[in-house]
Amino acid sequence: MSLNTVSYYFKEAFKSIFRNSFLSLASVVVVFITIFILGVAVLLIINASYLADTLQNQLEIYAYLKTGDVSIDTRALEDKIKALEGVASVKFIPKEEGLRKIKEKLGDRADILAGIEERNPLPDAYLIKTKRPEDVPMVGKKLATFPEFETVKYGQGVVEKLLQVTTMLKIFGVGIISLFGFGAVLLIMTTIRLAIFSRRKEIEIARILGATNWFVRMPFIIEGTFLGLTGSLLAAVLVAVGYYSLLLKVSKALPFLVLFRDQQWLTLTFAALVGTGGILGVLGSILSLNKYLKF
Amino acid sequence: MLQLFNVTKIYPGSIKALSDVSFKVNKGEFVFLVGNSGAGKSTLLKLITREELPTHGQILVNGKNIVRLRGREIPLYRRRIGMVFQDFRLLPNKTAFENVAFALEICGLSGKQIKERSLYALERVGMAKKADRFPAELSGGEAQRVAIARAIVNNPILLLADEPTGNLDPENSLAIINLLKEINYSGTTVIVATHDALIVDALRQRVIALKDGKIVRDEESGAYAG
Ligand SMILES: Nc1ncnc2c1ncn2[C@@H]1O[C@H](COP(=O)(O)OP(=O)(O)OP(=O)(O)O)[C@@H](O)[C@H]1O
Ligand SMILES: [Mg+2]
Repeated sequence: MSLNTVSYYFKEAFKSIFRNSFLSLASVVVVFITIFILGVAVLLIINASYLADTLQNQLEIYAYLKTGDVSIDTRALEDKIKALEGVASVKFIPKEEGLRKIKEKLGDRADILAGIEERNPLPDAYLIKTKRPEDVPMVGKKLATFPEFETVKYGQGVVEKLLQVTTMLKIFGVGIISLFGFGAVLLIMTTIRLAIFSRRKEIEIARILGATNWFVRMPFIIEGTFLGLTGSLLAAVLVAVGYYSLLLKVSKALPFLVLFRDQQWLTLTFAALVGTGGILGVLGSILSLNKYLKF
Repeated sequence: MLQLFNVTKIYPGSIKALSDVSFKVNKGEFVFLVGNSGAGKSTLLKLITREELPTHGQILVNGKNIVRLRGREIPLYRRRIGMVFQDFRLLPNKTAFENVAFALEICGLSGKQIKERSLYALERVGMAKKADRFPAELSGGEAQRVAIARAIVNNPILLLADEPTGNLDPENSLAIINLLKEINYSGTTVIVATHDALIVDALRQRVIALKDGKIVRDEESGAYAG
């Protein structure tokens, strides 16, 4: 392929984009919207998962034994808990240690515990950690069915809510993004169809002169890809600028809020957004070529 | 160089455009293909350029059976065949030079080669001076010259012309047919489909006459009417 051929492809592609400027613009706008929504959804999901990950260490289950029941074999029970699916570690916390922890928390006001210390009313407990944050509710519910336990406490629903939100976000995101993605591909298909139509005479002549399929198709593929990339690049830039300014504001005003800031992963995400737009463009042009450019 | 064996073409709807056509054209020959409207002249040329496939029969070009060409091979085959039409089929948004150069761009030649060869082809048809004109700025005869330059720029082994003088006055028709004959002198095999008696009778070349898709006459130094 000579430089001449490549410049021919691009010249024809851009001529076509400007010839059908209205449809070209519409395609760019719809790709822009698609990628913008995709970008926002992806960032939300990344941050929700990141938050869940961060909380993971704080997400532990406390299972309190029934007080006064001396017949419980703590060793056997520990093995039984370990055998549950999703459990990463089990730690027995005798009531003395529980009290000590409370004292630590109270600090210099620990004296209010004075009378209690002799006849420690706290139950013995187990501290259970799960392999994944989403296992916490399942393991917690199973533990609650054990007759040995009085109460089982975990995350107070935080994990469940967080995961619920993430799941909903994913479903909603996939739905709306598919819808817009479909629309974007359809619009690019229409744009390319019009481009094929306005160049049909030239295509016919090119075929007679011995043009290969690629030679005929390339300008259209470039046109579609360019439309897709333009829309997605604008969207990715907007999402990136928005996210970085959010990070800046948040770290000043709400420093305790955990937001995903891994530079490398963020760059990769924005690049993937741009790439997705390009794929929509290629897809639209190839579908249109297969449909409207019969050999 | 060109051989047809019992070629039949039936279009969808049982339209029989050619029936059991066989003939042979040698390298360097000049052949007129004559016949009334609907006789099957254009269909025959389309079979040779592989725009259409015969329903029955085989077609050999330079010893190769082009009926069996695979899709990928067709473009390469067409680059060795020149085609000229009644309506010129020039691209209106390209100059004469660019129209000729387009045939070479398609083949992926370099810019320098494209320029040299396109200018040479335009010179051969006497259009070098008007290389920068657009088709709309050319007369019919001039436009057809540019179309011929485009058809020969790749040094084809076979030049096919479908009613090349159909849109031209007698004077221009004679000039164009003489140009085609000149190209034929330099070694290119030429087949001209026409129902223009003037040019056939002026040149007195081999004439193959078609009627309702059948060959009814094939004579050397023939006239339009048998
Ligand atoms: N694509 C097609 N589909 C169906 N029928 C066709 C097609 N092309 C040509 N025909 C028919 O085949 C027959 C031969 O047509 P063809 O164009 O080869 O004739 P021709 O000799 O070139 O005529 P003309 O001098 O008018 O150009 C005609 O009856 C025509 O209607
Ligand atoms: Mg015809």
